[in-house]
Amino acid sequence: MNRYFLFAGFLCWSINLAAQSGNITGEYNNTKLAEFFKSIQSQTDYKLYYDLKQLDTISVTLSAKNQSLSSVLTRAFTGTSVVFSIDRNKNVYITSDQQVKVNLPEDFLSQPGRLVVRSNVVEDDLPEPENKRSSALDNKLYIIGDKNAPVAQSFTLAGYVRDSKTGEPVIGASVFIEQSGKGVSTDQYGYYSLSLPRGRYILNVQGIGLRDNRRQIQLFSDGKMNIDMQGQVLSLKNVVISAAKVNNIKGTQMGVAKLDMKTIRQLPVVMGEVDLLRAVLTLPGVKSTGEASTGLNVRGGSTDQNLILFNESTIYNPSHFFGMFSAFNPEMVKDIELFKSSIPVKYGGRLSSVLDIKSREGNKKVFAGSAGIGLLTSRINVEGPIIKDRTSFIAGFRTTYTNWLMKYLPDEFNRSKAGFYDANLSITHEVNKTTTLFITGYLSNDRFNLNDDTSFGYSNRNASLKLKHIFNNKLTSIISAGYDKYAYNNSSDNNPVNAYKLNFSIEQGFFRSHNTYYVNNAHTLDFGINLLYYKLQPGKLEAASSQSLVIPSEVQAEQAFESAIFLGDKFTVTDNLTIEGGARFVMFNNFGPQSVRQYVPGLPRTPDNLQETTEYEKGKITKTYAYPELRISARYSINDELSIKAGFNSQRQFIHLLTNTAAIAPTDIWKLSDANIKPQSGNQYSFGIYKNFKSNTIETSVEVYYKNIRNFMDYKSGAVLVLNPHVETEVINTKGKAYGVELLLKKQSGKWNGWVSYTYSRTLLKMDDPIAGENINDGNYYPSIYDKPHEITMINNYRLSHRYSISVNGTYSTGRPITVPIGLFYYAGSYRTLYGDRNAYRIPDYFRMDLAMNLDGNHKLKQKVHLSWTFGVYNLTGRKNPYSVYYVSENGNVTGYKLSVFGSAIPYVNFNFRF
Amino acid sequence: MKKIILFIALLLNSFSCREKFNADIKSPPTGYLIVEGNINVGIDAVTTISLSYSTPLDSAAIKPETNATVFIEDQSNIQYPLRPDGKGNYQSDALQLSTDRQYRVHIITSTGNEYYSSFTETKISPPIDSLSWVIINNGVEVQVSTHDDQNKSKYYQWTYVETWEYVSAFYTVLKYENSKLEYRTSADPQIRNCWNAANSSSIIIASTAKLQQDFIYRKPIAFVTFNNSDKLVKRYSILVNQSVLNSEAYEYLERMRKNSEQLGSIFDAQPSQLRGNVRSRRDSSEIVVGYVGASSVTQKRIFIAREEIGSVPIRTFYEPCIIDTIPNDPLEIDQFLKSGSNIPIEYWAQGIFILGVKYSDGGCVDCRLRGGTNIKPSYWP
Repeated sequence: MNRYFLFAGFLCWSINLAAQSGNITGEYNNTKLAEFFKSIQSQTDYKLYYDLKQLDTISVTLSAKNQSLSSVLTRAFTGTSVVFSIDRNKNVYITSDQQVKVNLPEDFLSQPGRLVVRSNVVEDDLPEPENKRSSALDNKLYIIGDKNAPVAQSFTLAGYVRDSKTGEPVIGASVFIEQSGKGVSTDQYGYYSLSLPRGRYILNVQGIGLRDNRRQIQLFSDGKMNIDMQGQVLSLKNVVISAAKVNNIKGTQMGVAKLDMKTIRQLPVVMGEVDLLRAVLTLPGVKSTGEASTGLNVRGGSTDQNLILFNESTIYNPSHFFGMFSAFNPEMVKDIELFKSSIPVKYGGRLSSVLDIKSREGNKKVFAGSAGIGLLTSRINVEGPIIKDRTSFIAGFRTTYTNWLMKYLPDEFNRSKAGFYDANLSITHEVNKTTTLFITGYLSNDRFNLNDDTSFGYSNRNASLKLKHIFNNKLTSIISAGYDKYAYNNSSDNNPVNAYKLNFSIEQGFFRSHNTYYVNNAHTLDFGINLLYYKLQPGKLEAASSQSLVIPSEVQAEQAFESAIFLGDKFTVTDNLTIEGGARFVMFNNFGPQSVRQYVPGLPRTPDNLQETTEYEKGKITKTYAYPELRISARYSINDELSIKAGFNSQRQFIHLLTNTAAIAPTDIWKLSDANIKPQSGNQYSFGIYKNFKSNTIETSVEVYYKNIRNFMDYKSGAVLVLNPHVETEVINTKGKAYGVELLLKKQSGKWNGWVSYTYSRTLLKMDDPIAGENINDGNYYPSIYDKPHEITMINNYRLSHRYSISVNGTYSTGRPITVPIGLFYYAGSYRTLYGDRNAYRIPDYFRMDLAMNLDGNHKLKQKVHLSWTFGVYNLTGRKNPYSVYYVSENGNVTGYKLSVFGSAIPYVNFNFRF
Repeated sequence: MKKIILFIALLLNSFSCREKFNADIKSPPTGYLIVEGNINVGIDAVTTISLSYSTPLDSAAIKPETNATVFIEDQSNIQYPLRPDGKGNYQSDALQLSTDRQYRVHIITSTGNEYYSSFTETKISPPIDSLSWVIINNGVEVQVSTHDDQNKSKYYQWTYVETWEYVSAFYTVLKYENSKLEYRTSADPQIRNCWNAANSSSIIIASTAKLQQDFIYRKPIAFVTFNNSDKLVKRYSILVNQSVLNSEAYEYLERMRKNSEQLGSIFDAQPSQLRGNVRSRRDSSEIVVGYVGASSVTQKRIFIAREEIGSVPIRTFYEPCIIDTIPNDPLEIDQFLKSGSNIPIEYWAQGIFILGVKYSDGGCVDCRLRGGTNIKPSYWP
């Protein structure tokens, strides 16, 4: 009912018609409505109510000879959205789409009791003024472009979709034409671009967590249309993207998984710390060696083969507390996206995956903030406008107070201290309508003090600047530049003679340009360049005190330049078939100052076989590698709910993590490719079938992949990697192959949501490098340490009410391979173990159940502070899942042990508030 | 670095747990040859080489090679035979091997397989500067310091023999022999003070390769607890043998140590296969465990007396011992003392009347029952 009153308000122009006959005669040829109505008014005594804003694009062509008003109007509006109604008092209401009801319902007067009820019926459940405005916007007709523009085959309509409350872009919202169903998703800036012929359309904009929006548009030529969407009040800033509902069917990419913070927050976690990387571990195809490691093994890749981007910055060590927690403040993150198969052509440099973590943009309208208190960390973030609607900032800080944990340590360690923090800052500035500037900074720092005499610390420091410019509706450009640094330093003065300091650092400067050109409906081009400058300090050992006898030693710094140009085309062949093809050309130059060691060809690469060393001066190129890379994927949709996809991906990697431990160890260092260390390369073939049920609320998929890896780095037995000036003598080039099938069943919305996935995968390695000097397992294929063939993950979230929800997770996987002793011998006064083939045995299978309960405070909109609690239990069944099995000589005997990182159920509590 | 890793592991272990675990692993039926020993060079140096075979995981019994023929050879093929002791040890005479020559061992096993170690550079061990000790973590840590002015040693290995004196709970003046209670005489062995000994059971090595000077300062080599051993109850002695390794042997032992003595933390390197310097003549790819180097050996001994440690409580393991009394009735006395598991201590008398016999459990009286010998070592003060 409200809506009708509303309508009445828009019927702002009424004309008092002269009392004349009732019938109409006239010739109208492409006559504008205003003229047409004037003609009617002159011939009848009807009063016409209409809103030209809604109707001004319609013209009338007809000839009438003494015809009734209703038949003339019926003819005039046939084929348009215009409707009309005439009441007993000869009032004519001409409207678009919605007919004005001029008669009360038949039973209206016979049931007087319902009168009150009826008049209170509210069609919108939220009667805020904003909603009225929004409804009004829904009904307004937007004229886009210049009416007099020359007629072309098609025009582009483009613009931003933003959250009306915070001004943040809405990523991945689907923008589609209601009539034809043609549509696109907004990009990471909330930008969309559609190509349409001239005409009248209803534009639908949808995103879960946001109220659906419709815009009526009349498109004359190229034009802009920004849409502010209202969030559903309950979900606050947690935006879930409905586009994801159809993405798995409509998108061409395979092996893409997106997690938003709302989903991540529901997952039960260790010690109550919301953990991005552990959330990623719940996705099919992602594994880790165990609970103490947040290192990701994606589809059989090693932990260094993932490009972890936080905004534009590369994060080399994404964890705190030596791998126990991930280094990203959950309050700052908007969503994370993992590409494990079809890697977009703009990314390169890592073999397995790209993990793209995006931080939120600050609220452009009002100041807001949130804070949280957990068992291990506390965090706070604030955000708000600097210039309202143009510039905003968001800043977050998180720190720990883990020292209480230390009292659980044996006496000899309980004087230790541990701490970490991370800080984020993002500033978004709208320079003008077409240019936006993003500035982001990230700092994470970890420090351990071992009984005051030994300390270990590491940190990530990143800063980036990004400029987005829209040249026109067809061309969008993003350029970004920044600086990334990862460093660790380690010192000990426990023994004055051996007091030392050990430093490692990696620095990189980058410049990227990425352009998107919408050629037409069929083609969208992506092109650009990536430039990356590396500088590595592989290790520097110094004496830490004057008494120390440590010989300062320093492994020569490494520097290199990695450059790439890329071009990709998204080609929509037909509505059903889309092909995305791209090529990158990458070049890697390692340059001096550097001493390059040459070894006798064909002989094992050992220090003894060193032939000569060539000194290269500063800036002189020591080695160049150049390769093309191909990325192809295609999607064929059989119907709206079923599609098949196939893809091929090739990748190169020029920077490698040197590690021979199962977990990423605190002392692991990185190494650049050089004359002796070849780049790693990998090819992946994948195929998938995607089927959705129940209007896309239930998603299922089957993905199959096969991958081969070359020049994967493995190490000789007992290799020394830190402070080794000739690491190449410890490296064995290894071949790898990985294959698997991933099944996923997912329900995104509803009271119960979650997913179940099953993965069968194998990762096998083979060392048959003739110049290695030794080959593991006689040069046969053997399983890698993260080869866990069967894995099942279940994530269940059940929303009991708007304020309470409960989550139960379950994970099962085959135990990881380990190397076990095959015999015992007696040596140096003790029984000792004799090890057999590498990774020939497996630890017992892994199983874990977690439980979490989220309690939100009340949802009153105007409340100053919103509270929420999370309670949970990690490892509910208390199962002692082994992380490793090992054999130790103790008091002369060999005993086998299995080590469980979390050997019991671990309860936690977490408190958050927003203001 | 290792300490940090140990620390992190312990930190994790604070909420983690470990349990005993036995995997069902099939071991090869025939063992691999294990060769342990160091060719001792210098004046009157005795070389001992031990030979054994590896065994399956579940049978922890040494399988010694008792019938092999073992020689030390130099590059000019002069052979010095080693004599078997029947337990798998082969000992040379006191030889005068030169530090200027290179030596190897040559082994012919009972099954006729021949093995050689490689010739390695002969090392000279510098004297041990000092053995020191400190009280930490409820025990005594023994440390070694040494240096080489010529900066040639660099890689060190230590082994040690611990000897300690302990005292049983009760001194006895009586004995029960042939169903007769008699006073002990000087002809009877003393059973109150005993000496026990143990060899080092871990690989103790250190490197000064990363230091400017060849200087080992207070390297911990042994740790004796107050609560779990009786080594410090009276007097403790440790004899430390120091030898010098080449870098290959050092790496080999370091790897063996990591494989078998590591903590099992999450950051441990993966276990690796071991290849020493002993090869089969027939099949050089056959697995043989052991690295036989050549070095002179230097020794040092220290004593730690109970009084030096101070007033900290030290467990004697005799704490539960009590004295009981048997009535003075020959039948009852015989019943209690006949089996020998109880030992009489003294008569229980009031004035001139003998009311009974005080006795205690044999283990509380005869120190030898705790495994030691009642013969005082010649070097004991």
